[in-house]
Amino acid sequence: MKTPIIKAIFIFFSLSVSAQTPELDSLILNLNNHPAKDSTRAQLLLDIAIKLRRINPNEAIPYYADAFETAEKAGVFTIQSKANNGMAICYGMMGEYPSAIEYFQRTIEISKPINDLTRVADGYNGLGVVYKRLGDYPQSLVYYTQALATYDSAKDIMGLAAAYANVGVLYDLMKEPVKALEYYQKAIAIYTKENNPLQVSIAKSNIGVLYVDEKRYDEALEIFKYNLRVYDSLKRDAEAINTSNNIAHVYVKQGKYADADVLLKKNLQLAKELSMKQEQTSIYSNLVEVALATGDLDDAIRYANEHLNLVLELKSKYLLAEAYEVLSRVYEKRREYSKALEAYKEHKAWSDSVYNEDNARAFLAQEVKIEVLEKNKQLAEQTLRLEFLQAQVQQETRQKWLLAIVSVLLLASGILFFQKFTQRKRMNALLEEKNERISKQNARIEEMNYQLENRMLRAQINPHFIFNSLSSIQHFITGDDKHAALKYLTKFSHLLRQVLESSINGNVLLREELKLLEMYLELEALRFDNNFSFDIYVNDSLDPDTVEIPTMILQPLIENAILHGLIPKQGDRKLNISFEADSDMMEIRIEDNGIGRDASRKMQEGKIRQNPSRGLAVTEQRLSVLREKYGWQSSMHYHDMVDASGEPAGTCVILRFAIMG
Amino acid sequence: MKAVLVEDEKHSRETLRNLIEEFCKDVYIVGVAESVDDAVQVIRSTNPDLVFLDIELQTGSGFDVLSKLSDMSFDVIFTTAYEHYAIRAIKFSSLDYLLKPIDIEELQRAVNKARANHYVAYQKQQLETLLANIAGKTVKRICLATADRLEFVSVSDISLCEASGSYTNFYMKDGRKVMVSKHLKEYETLLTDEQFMRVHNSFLVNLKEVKQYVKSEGGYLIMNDNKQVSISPKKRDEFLSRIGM
Repeated sequence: MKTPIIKAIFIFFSLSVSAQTPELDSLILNLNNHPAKDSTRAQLLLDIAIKLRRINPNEAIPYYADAFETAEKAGVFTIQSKANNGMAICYGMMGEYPSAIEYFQRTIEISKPINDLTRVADGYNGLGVVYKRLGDYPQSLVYYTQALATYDSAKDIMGLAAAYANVGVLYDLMKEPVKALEYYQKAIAIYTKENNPLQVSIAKSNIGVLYVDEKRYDEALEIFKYNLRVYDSLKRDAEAINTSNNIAHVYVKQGKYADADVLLKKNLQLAKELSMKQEQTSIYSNLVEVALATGDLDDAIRYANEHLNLVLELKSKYLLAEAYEVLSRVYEKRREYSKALEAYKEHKAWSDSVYNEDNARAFLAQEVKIEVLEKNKQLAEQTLRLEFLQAQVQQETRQKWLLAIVSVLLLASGILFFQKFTQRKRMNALLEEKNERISKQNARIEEMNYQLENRMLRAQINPHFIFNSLSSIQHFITGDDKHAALKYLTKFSHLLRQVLESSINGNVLLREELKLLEMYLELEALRFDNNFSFDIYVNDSLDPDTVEIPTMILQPLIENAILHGLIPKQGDRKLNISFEADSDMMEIRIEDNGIGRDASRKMQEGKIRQNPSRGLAVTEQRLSVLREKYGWQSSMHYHDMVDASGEPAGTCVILRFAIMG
Repeated sequence: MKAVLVEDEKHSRETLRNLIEEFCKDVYIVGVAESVDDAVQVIRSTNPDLVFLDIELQTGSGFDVLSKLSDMSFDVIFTTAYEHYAIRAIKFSSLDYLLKPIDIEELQRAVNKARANHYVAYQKQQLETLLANIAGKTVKRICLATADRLEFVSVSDISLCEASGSYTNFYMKDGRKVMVSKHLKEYETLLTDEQFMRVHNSFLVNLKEVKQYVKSEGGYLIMNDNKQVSISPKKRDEFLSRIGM
């Protein structure tokens, strides 16, 4: 039996996402004025999609897709993941669950690397909602739990609350009221703290419905009455009417038919004034229950018919099925069996049609299984009802006719069962294919990660430098300079060990890095017969024992300064490296008094083919990875120095880092 | 043999000199140079049999030295500190190179090969092939070193390469066959970027010379010169995708 009581909140997204945006028309106007495929356009497309989604999810999808592509081109990953999640929500709203699942999973995939935890959690939450709708509650619970944990680490309070509420609804559906209650309370605690009375009341009303199921009518009433005051003060008319209707429903349960009747009639009046048709239907349906309970069959038939008329206007198959069911019960009470049967047939037709519509959407094997169970239950109910009717009609000698109906019904359900069976087989095949695709994608992702790590490891130490060092050792050996060879070998192995032992993305203490740089510079000085000198200066404001720096990030820059600045120069050659700090930034200057960048470039231009500067590219790449992945601020620029007479006097590279440690 | 060393780093120069003096007793170093201009002048004035040429010089590259010399009647052994973009081009010309730190055995092998290769015409042609390939202006040419001669052919004239033990047979479009004393694997690495594909353990084919792909009997190819080449089943997909199917 359908309960004319309002419950369940389905939240596909974290509430903190919804931002204030201008109206749809002005957004579209802005979009037309902004053809450049940049981040602004991506944001506009996203805003439009969010607005459209509330009106018609189907129309929102192309905008989300466009936003996704534009954001991808512009490199704005946060918009990309938002757009992807939006598409998933739309598919979920439209009942296209396989697509919804695929997109939610992609949300998680693309949001993880950019560390957008809220979006990762949204993905899990969405998956939880979809699986709940598919009836796979255990799977749904798994995803909700992940959503909870992720919202928590993202410190997204509102998201956390929404996820708590969703878990509550899930336990409610799983018939575990104690746990459901616990999670509703958690959600309420947060909403109360965040001063969001509307969400508090929505969660409370779910608790109220729970109490009704448990026949704790007084407690339920207390909640509904509290909520009614909240909704009135917030001017939420629809919620207020629904709550009031819930109160009436409790009165019916308690046998306080007169109270229920008064309240329902007042509500009906209000709902009519506000033209709230959806709300009127549940009021009528409750009024029919009151009339039936008090034996007022004329009122019952009148309300049932009004209910039906209203529903016919709304054209909702689901409500039509419900209205005919109520009507058939009323006719049955009135002993108008032929009309009862007529109404029942209508009910059957509409509920089948609802069922078929659901079926067309149903995709995963899980849903099919659960609907088979429901159908079985319905069939059992039908059989009972038919037996009852049969007994009545026998007296009126219409037995044969009814028998025919029974066999038609049985045949129809047989066909339904067969369809379901073949459908399930098809679903399983599709599901397997999907799984295979997912596992292929996973393998690819793993391989990419592996390659990336490998590349980063190699980036830390420049292979060029390793071979130069080994060549230098060979030089000392062939020159029979045992001492120099040993000294060089020892320094080189110290340096190599340090670099290999530091972790892949690792930062090291400035003190360690200074030691490394000194060793490196000594090696380079030996290689070039000490024909340049160097000096490293660290300002007192920097504590080398607490400040951190990415390992060997300076090495390619220093190598450049030596090879292309100092070595081609004649005479005095000097390299100064200084570390300074102002407030939260560290400034590193690598200064050589070499030939300068112009002269160096000219030397390169003369060559048949130029070798790209690998070391520099590596440093730039590492800096940008750190920027994108960890949001670590940094900048690097060059300064060409000149002497008093305006002649080139060397090059200075200036790196600025946000201080870590 | 008279040799010139072209190295811009003092240590590298000294190392190479020490190694040659100790391990290649019949090589006499008649001159050293640190820059492109230096090198051109020293080579002209000493007329060496062999030049050790660093690819990367401060003032330019080893190839700049070669392009400035009209008379290239000497052998060249290139030296470099790391795997270099030009190494492929050097291999195309069947020339030698040494990676630093220098392997003594490789040094001796390269010197011995230079000693045997004294046809001035070949030396010149090898170096010209190299310069043309480096500049990327003309059709790629490759130098095939057989037992008794060097053959200079356009890559596009090769139809098919076939493994034969540690030798490789080259079948040319004009029907000629050239046998080279190198593994097929080596040419696979060199030629894969040039529209060649290893379709079978024994065969490396010029994809532009494939006439037909016959699916029956496990699959085989018919080349423009009507030679039949088996294709191994695990290479089938890659083959189809490379010819754009």
